Amino acid sequence: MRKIDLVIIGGGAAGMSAAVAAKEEGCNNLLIIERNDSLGGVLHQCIHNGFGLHRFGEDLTGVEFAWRYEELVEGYQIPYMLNTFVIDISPDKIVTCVSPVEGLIKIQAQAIILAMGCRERSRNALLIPGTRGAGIMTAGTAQKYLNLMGYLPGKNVVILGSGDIGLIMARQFVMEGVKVSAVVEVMPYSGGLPRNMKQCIEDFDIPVYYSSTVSKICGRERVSSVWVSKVNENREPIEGTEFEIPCDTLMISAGLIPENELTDGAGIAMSPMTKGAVVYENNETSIEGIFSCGNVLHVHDLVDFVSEEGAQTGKYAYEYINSVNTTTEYIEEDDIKVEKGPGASAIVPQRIHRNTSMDNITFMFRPSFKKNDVTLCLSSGEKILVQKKMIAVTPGEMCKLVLPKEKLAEVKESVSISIHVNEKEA
Amino acid sequence: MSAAQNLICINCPKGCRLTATYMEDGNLLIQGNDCKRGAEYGKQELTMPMRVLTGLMWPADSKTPVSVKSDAPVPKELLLTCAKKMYEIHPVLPIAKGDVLVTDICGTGVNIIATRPAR
Repeated sequence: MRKIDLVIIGGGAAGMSAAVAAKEEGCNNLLIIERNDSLGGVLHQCIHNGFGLHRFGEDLTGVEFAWRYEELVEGYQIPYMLNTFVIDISPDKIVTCVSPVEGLIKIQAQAIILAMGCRERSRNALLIPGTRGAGIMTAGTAQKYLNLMGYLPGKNVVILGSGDIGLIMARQFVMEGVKVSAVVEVMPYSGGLPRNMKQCIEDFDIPVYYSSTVSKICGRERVSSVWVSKVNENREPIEGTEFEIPCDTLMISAGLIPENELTDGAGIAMSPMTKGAVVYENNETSIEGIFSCGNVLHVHDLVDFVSEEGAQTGKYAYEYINSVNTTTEYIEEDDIKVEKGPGASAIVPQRIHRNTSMDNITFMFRPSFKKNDVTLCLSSGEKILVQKKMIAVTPGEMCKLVLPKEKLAEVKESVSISIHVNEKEA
Repeated sequence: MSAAQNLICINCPKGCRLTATYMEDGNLLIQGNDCKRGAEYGKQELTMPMRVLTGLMWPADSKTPVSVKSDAPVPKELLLTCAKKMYEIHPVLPIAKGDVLVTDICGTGVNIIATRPAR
């Protein structure tokens, strides 16, 4: 069996940045496994700008952002396998994959980084009644048709959901001369970044229907119209509120689901909140030596944060490889648990090693509401350890809190993250 | 001082919430920005809004498009005009990353460049 120190599964933004960082730390025996025919992942179809401002201090398109990393991977001569699909990861870190060139391969890894990304929530996942004509697709599929293959997916589009890819596609459709008849969002607010609502929807006066959903799809051969209904507090359509919007395409942009079949298959503990692995502060999962980063760990808003997380994870994984014989003994009973308080959800990491070697611990999480003037709080018992005031929060934007190591001593068995709405002064 | 206007900075995904107020001396005061790009954006947005144009161009004899962007922002009101103009032009292959495919689009002084190679 082939033996490789670090196997990285997925060659998108997270995987490439993990590989580059591990290589820069000195890891020479590593391999990226990618199922597609090129590295770069979804970035190849993201032709819009707004990438790289945090990471490179430049405004790049997704395509250019991917290119930067592809050049680094090539420059460092980091080995990668394309068109190769991982079918199994065992708890003792044997990776089984299939490649059209080499057939079935088994690799014994010392450490594994899971960087498989996300898939989109589809019509079937949303259970929308109606016919099954052509013209129903996810935003990412529409983006791939147009940007990579050169096919215009329709002439009159209704968008269900206000996720960022959907908003970006709305703008691109308008520029291609396609009519965007409506954006329909089940929540009373947008699911995407405020900047995308501004520059993709408001700039082009596209109508947005909040607290609404598509309750029926019509058209036998091809979509001919959709019904839009108001929803009740359980997000169910309210009878009698429906109206019809003619269209030939329904594009769904209703969230992403981390692709964790391999993670699950290896028996790694999963978080129901993030739909990703439960991880420690160094992004190590419940199985020692298996790490997770990027959108497979939790859905990010922007690729800059994905590649930052990937790079850190690459470093942590290499640290693990180097310290295998001298590793600090972590005692599971001493682990600090991270709990969700009011207003916070999808917190990463979920656990902290009591004797962590890290100087600062960064927590990422999502608000469970849209509110102005709030305080983010990290507390242990009654004691508040870190707090940060925010002008506004929305579930579409991830929040961050940093816990300095010296404050860890004040932590009992758990910490809790919550978001409080500040009382207005009279 | 006139009533404050609320804006969302589109420079980066942080999306700072800006408030813009015209002062008595006619100057514009921008608040809520985390970096100086936000102040510039606020002033620009209320005087002459600008946007980076990204899109596709179809090279002659090619079925697949090449992704392009403007090398500087163009006036927002000219965005669709520029996009239309861009689609009328079919560059010749091969194209290298960074190649100028349209010079001075619609008299804006801005060039359209390829963001990836195409052969």
